[in-house]
Amino acid sequence: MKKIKLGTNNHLSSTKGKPSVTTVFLFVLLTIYTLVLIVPTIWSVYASLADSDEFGFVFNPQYPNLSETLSLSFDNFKFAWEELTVTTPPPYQQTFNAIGLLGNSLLYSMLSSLAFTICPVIVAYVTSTFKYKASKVIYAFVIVAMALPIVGSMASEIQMLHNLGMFDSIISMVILRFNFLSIYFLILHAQFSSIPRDYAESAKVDGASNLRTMLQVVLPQSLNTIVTVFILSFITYWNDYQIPLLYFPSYPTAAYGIYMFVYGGSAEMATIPHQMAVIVLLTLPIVIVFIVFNKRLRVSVAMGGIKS
Amino acid sequence: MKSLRGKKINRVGRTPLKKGDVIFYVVLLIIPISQILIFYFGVNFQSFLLAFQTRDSSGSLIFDPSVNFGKFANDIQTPIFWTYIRNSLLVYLFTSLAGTVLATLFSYYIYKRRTLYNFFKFVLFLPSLLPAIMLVIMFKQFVGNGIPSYLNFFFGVDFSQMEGGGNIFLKENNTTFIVITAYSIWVSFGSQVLVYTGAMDQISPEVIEAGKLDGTNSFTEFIHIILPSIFATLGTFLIVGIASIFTNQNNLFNFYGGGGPSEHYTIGYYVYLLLRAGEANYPYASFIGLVCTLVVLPLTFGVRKLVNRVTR
Repeated sequence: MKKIKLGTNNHLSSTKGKPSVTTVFLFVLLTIYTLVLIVPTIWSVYASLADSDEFGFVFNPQYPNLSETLSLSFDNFKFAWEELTVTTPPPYQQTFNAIGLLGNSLLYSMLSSLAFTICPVIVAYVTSTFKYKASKVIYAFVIVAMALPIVGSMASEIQMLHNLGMFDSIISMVILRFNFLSIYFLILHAQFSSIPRDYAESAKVDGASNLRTMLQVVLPQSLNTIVTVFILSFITYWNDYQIPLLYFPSYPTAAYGIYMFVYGGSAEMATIPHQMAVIVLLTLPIVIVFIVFNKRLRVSVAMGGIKS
Repeated sequence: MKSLRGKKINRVGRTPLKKGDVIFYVVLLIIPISQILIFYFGVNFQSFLLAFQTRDSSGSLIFDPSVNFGKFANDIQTPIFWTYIRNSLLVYLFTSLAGTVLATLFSYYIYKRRTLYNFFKFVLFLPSLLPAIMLVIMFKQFVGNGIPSYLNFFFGVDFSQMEGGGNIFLKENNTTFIVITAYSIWVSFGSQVLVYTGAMDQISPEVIEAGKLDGTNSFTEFIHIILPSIFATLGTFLIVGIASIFTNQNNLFNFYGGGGPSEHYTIGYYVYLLLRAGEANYPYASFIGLVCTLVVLPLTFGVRKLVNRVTR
């Protein structure tokens, strides 16, 4: 029989000695996945530094000494920064340069992710804390709404924005994102429900208001999950160009700029080094956000509300 | 009945109504509930109405269900529309089954803190971090030029002589759809792994240790302890994912913009293109949405029942 020390992290540590077949199999699978992802990523960054005229069949293993055949420089980034402009469709016909596109992206991503995070946090907190009948109704409604597969309401959503005079505005998108019908509501609800009530009750005995208990006692204990929801939403909105294309065409974002650069640019823009330069340039902010918050990216909860 | 702190608790575990609490409750919920009333109930109700409307010559909406019925009747008589449906189902099957199986296995590896687990966690999340267009260009170059080039170098297979040239995998129609679907799976692990690992972290260490005492190895531990423990989470994703059968665009817009080959269309991509084409198409897009909802509704409840039966 194997010797196991109780009370330690035995369940996580690998058994000393030979790794199991499953572990080796998964390691090989993950290594292949990594290679398939990392090699093209490095190639992309490399391509963004390569000279457009000399850039060719970089993947070809018959040309191992790429540094000898290609001269590297930052000229593509200069070109990308200067040429990255988007002119909005008629009747607005406004031109946005790289700074304008980044500004729109930042505004859209930041405000939308805040709205998309704060709303489920609030609703999950109150419904998990106050066990009123209404809380049960709201929880059941979210489950039904998520399980109920409504397809194609996008047309109606845009029509509704037209009707309310809210079409083509970033602020309207933020209002649209202030919504708790997402899987994050279930995750946060499970998270708040798992926190022992003793902390909140002690704070209340000490005279803390409901708001203070929420902000200073309960939410800090769930900060990792809240930050995770925010970061995941921020990344999604930063890279999203399809929604801006339909919902607020007069405020093109950086992702929309990349789309136009790749699919609607001039012949000079169509070169891989120029396209990669513009993509690398506009990916940098998101990489910085990820590096800063990387350690907080954790969803420490199990949830299974919808299946029951 | 009173708790140890002297607070009243009623029999069914509800919080007793206190004026201050109720005001706090209502104030915090009033905006989210209003939002739901307008942008969930209002939008879906309008979507239902829109499905039976059309635009007249002046662009105003008029009630005339026959127009969208007629368009839809025409559409379903064309073989290409059935190709869209077939593609949508295939994409769902591949991304849900293969994607979920792989994501669960990868999550298990990370949960067990095996060699380089932190690095792999970052790598699996990387596609969520990078813009879809960057990934698509990378993927196109790698699959289109890189793989044929390496196959030629190592095994002497010369794809340049074949139809489609060097870019064989993305130029041949029979392989392109598979390659694009593989791409969709390839980039889908990030948030899944994050949530599944979180669910695995909640499993009591005592259960795992008890399993070890009973002689479980990694494989049996995964099958008999880990999977049943996180099945509720997996089931949630499975049920919620069914609606995506007819909304999933399979990344076609990232690969082709608005000009993808029609034999690779999914219903999601087709509806998106309808919306992009202008307001005149909104009623028909809503009609397709309504029909799709009616199709996936019983499917969702069927899968939910199945998931419940497995977890019971």
